[in-house]
Amino acid sequence: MAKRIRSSGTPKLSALHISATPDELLLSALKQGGDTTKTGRSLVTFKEGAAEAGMKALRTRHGLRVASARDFIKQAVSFERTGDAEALVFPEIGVAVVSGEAAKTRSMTMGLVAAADNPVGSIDPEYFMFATDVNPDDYLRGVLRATQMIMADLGQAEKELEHPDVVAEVAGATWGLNACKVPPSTKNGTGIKVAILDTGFDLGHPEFAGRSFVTNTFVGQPVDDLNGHGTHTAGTACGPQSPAGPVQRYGIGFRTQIFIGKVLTNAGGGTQAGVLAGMNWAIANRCAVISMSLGADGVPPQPSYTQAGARALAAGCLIIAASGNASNRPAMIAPAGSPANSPTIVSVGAVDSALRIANFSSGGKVDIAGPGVNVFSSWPRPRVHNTISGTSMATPHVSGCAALWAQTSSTLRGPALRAKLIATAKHLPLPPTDVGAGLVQAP
Amino acid sequence: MPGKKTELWIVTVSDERPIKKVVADLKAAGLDVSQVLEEVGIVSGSATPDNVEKLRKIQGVIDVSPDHPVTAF
Repeated sequence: MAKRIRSSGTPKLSALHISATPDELLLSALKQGGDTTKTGRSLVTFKEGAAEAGMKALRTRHGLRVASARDFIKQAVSFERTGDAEALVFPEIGVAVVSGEAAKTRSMTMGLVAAADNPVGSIDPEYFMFATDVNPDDYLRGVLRATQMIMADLGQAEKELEHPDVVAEVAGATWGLNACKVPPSTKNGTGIKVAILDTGFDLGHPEFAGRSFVTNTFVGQPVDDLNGHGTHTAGTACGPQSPAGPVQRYGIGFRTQIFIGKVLTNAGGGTQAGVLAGMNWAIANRCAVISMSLGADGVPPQPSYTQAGARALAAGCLIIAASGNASNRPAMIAPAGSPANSPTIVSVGAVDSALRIANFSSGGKVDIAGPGVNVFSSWPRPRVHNTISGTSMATPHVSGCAALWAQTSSTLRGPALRAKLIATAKHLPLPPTDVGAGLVQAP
Repeated sequence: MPGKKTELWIVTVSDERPIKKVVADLKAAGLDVSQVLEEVGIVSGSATPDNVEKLRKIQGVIDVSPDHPVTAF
């Protein structure tokens, strides 16, 4: 038998209440800043067999409005239907989630747990959870990071993790940076403006503190990236030289001046008009490198993009775009989409860590290739890193290397910069319709 | 009435005339201008498909194409 929890009156609910959606919790944590791994709510674990007593204690001893999963048919909890409940008990597992407000105001601290007759076994912060990736390196990094987080909570942040060989293995640089010969390069992109036209950027990302940002939105949403794609691609092109902790280097132009043009919404979509506005802005700001991990499949070269590309070259700017992910090789090779298929724009295909063409990489008009499979880079807080694939990931490898080349000489701009990238690319035993001149290389 | 529905169009403009003059002519020919992008020589705006042929005939207009969606790759 189930009954719906009804709201009695309208008590003011904080952002950290039981019925909050994950997005609400995430936005609230990001706005607060600081430790964004925790939602602000608490998890109460009851002692063995003490769930009923625990639920009673929450009501009587702590005065909370308590709901139970048993209030829903077959315990199919619907969080948004918990009304004004301040705690939600899961009787089958003996755990309750308590709202942030309630945990604070009713002084639910570990001190209460001391008494042997107290049904509460432990009170812990609720952490955000995310889908994990298949990449084993990333999983290992995740384990290390989780361990660090827990130890910091236990007040042992100073203690060194005793896994030296793992640290050595995990540190270093991504396979993509190594394949492009980035780590041995003496260049870092100082003085070079790189525009990333994408879903924005997580401007509060801890590994970009102190970096120079110029930003603009073209989609009616704040520049702050709630998607992840823009943070990831900007990370590859412009990320830090030595990210803190056992985190490998994933970024190329670590001293570039970063221009973030949000031309894609947080849902990852946009319009040609918006993209053109972003290109116009980047050219007006004389960005030597303009990186566009976006496009439209099955659309022929657009005169507007071709002219924008030409104007860019004339102004000393080089536009670099992803060829697209529409192939299903070997059965089907899709043609490069727009804007990459414009002759005045550099089109980038994707290779994997064995330098084979990625099965999704669109072909035909492809000028150069970059690492695009299982690419580790930055991601919005609290996750801060992620490993994803796409010609979108290959593109900022070319853009980052282009920034390093641009730094070597002020003559390497526009067409000259493009020619240099093509001339110095590492030849691959693959057709130019897959990889163009080959794998981009750093100076 | 298919020709009457307003759609968003991307107009590519050459640099043979000042872009402001082309924009004035586009407006007079029925384009409801939303953006003038001077660096790249692009004007975007809404017009009915019926009007598009008029837009194409204006001096300095290289191309008029419909706007289309893009996605992250």
